[in-house]
Amino acid sequence: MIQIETIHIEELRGIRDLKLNVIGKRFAISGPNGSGKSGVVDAVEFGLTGDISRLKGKGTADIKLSEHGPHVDKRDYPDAAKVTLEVYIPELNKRATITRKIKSPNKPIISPADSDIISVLKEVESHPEITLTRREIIKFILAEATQRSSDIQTLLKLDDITTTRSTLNSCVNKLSSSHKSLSSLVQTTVDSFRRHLDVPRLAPDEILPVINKNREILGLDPIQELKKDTNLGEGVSKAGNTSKLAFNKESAQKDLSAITKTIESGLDDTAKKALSDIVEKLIEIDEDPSLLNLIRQRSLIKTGLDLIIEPKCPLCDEEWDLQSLRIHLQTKLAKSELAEKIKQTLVENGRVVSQKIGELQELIFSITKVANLQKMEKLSLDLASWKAEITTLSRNLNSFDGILLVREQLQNFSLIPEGIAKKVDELKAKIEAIPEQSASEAANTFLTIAQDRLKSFQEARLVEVRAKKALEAAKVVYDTYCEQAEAKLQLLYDEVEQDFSRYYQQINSDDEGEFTAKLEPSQGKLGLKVDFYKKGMFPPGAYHSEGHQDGMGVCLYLALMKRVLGDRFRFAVLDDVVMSVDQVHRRQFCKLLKKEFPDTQFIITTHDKVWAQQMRSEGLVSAKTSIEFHSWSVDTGPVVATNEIWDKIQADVDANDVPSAASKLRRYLEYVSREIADSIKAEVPFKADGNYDLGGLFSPIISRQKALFSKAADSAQNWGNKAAE
Amino acid sequence: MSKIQTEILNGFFSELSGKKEIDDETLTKLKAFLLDDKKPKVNDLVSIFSGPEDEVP
Repeated sequence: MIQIETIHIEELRGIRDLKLNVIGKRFAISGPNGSGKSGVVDAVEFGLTGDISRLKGKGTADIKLSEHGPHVDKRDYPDAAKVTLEVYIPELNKRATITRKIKSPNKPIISPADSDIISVLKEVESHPEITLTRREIIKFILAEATQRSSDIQTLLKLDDITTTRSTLNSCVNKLSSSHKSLSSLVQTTVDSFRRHLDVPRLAPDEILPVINKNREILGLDPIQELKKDTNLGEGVSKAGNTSKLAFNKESAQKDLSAITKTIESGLDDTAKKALSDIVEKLIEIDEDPSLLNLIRQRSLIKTGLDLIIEPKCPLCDEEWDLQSLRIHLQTKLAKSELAEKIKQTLVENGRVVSQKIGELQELIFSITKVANLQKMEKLSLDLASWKAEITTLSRNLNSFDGILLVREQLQNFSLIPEGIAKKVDELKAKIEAIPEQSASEAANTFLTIAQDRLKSFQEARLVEVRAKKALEAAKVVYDTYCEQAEAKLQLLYDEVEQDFSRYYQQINSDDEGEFTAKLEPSQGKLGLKVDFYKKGMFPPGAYHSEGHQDGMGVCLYLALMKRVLGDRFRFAVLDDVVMSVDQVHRRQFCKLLKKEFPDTQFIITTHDKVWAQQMRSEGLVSAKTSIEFHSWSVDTGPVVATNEIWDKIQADVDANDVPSAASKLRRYLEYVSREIADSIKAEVPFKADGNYDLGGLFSPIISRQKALFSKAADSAQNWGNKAAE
Repeated sequence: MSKIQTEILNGFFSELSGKKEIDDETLTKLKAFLLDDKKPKVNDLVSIFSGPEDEVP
């Protein structure tokens, strides 16, 4: 990450030409409302990210960076509006300059254009949260759980985890679907091979006796062991007996019996029930077309929800309030639940029917071969057409869109095409009429067809095993990623919780030193409950004051940023974020920043003079590391005040304006006296209105100082330290 | 890529390297796929798992 050394703003927002030397780790910019502080914040954000978040969100529908980014007098000259930042990159120990113009916000000029520098600045660009306003801190605290989850996920850059998880899950689903289809295909080749062999199951002790009986007829050696490369037809005469031409009467009759049985019985009861459910749901959709719209919109809405990263519709670019847009889409999503259930029923039942009719493909293929050999060309064509129809139907039944494509076919479903039964009967009669084959011819063709079907089975099985392995691997990958992500996210939320609680305890050590908080992630929501004086855990807005909520917001932000960037959290702009926090707790806030973030550069703005002085008296910033804007005009932009009060007093004296000098001196001494009285615990008579003047403070301070010096002298005497005494 | 995604992926790849279901080639391809900053495409991932298989069962 980076630290800023100088800022040069030209013709941007309310600033004409302003150069700031940002010295040190912490830099304060103070000034009354409307003095141009936010202009500097906008410029820093623009210089680093190319965007100004203040110009987005609720109530900014008509505001555009290109039109309203430049100074009002330079609206037509976006080329003149630019920011130049000189930055130091601690991790590279390099310095660089980045210049960005409103005219081309996404094309910064970086010098030197080293790849490592560009890479760091690119990363900074993706962290707009480095500028924090009060509006933003409160959204973490008071937002509802879904919105908080979304905002914090965005801040923590967790979107890529969701995307990866979803991609891995989709991959598992695709491979699972593919594996189911291939398993079904294997089963058809098993059925075909088993039917040919006429064995109850495909096992070596069932297969080999049948094969060897036929080999013995041909005088061939028996096969002792069934291996993956075993050729059942080894040694068989190939003359006129290729796998394409081989005709075995008995095998053909078995295939024809099987298809006749299917023609007579149609689908089994399970497939019939599934088909009936499909038709029922299709009728529901026909009767209420809005269901189909909701189903179609559902995936669009889901995608849309993922795409909402700025306050406008990702489709039409219409400006929206971010939260309202999300709620609008979430409501639509909830309405589509019923429609989604209908879709799921259709797809699940579609798979059942698809598997059943898919099993017919291999049988039709075998019968087609027989029909070809018997020169029944019309039947061959009808069978080929039937097979093609079944293949298409089976494929379509595996997806929702596919089912809609074949809805008419399903509503008038007929497994067996018209006229096929009669033609199959003709073929059956024709086969019956063929004279019995000689024993050697039957054995010869039997073995050829057996080898052919074994090969089909092996090929289908090979593909299915690959698919199964792929599915298993994808499942392992998905499960492993989910386990790792869950563990890391839990750890992350635990760490954020602990840091958040610790920071808040430090700010409120006087009354909430044992404060705890609990982040509760669950299915896209992130609940936040905080302890209220040991009375229980409640939402932050339930009992805590606005000032305490502001404190929580800043603490949660710092805890999140520490987790997002770790040691690389080196820069942040805090734009008036503790304005509701009282003076006592602000002092603790100064200590918190110094203790917990010694290496982070904070640019802190405030309109509150007391807070500006307090930052200096607490040593958070110094005279050199703070500036004050005393006024602003359209023509001049912010006017920087002289930093030292003594310079101002001297200026009054030089101008012979003694009353003004005296007034400044008195106000300053009152402020300083209050701070001194507080730090040395002077015993000032209590005033209910808290209005302490210099006379009331001075005397108790001197008394307390004397008492402390006296104690110090006693201590020095005890130690024998004459010099100190 | 976010810091936490990088941490998750580090643990994830380390855990995967000990799994019998994942061979070295698949792991290498997965690394290239998931470490790429482009939006991941499901079909590209499917093709990583559906690699060639020589063994006939």
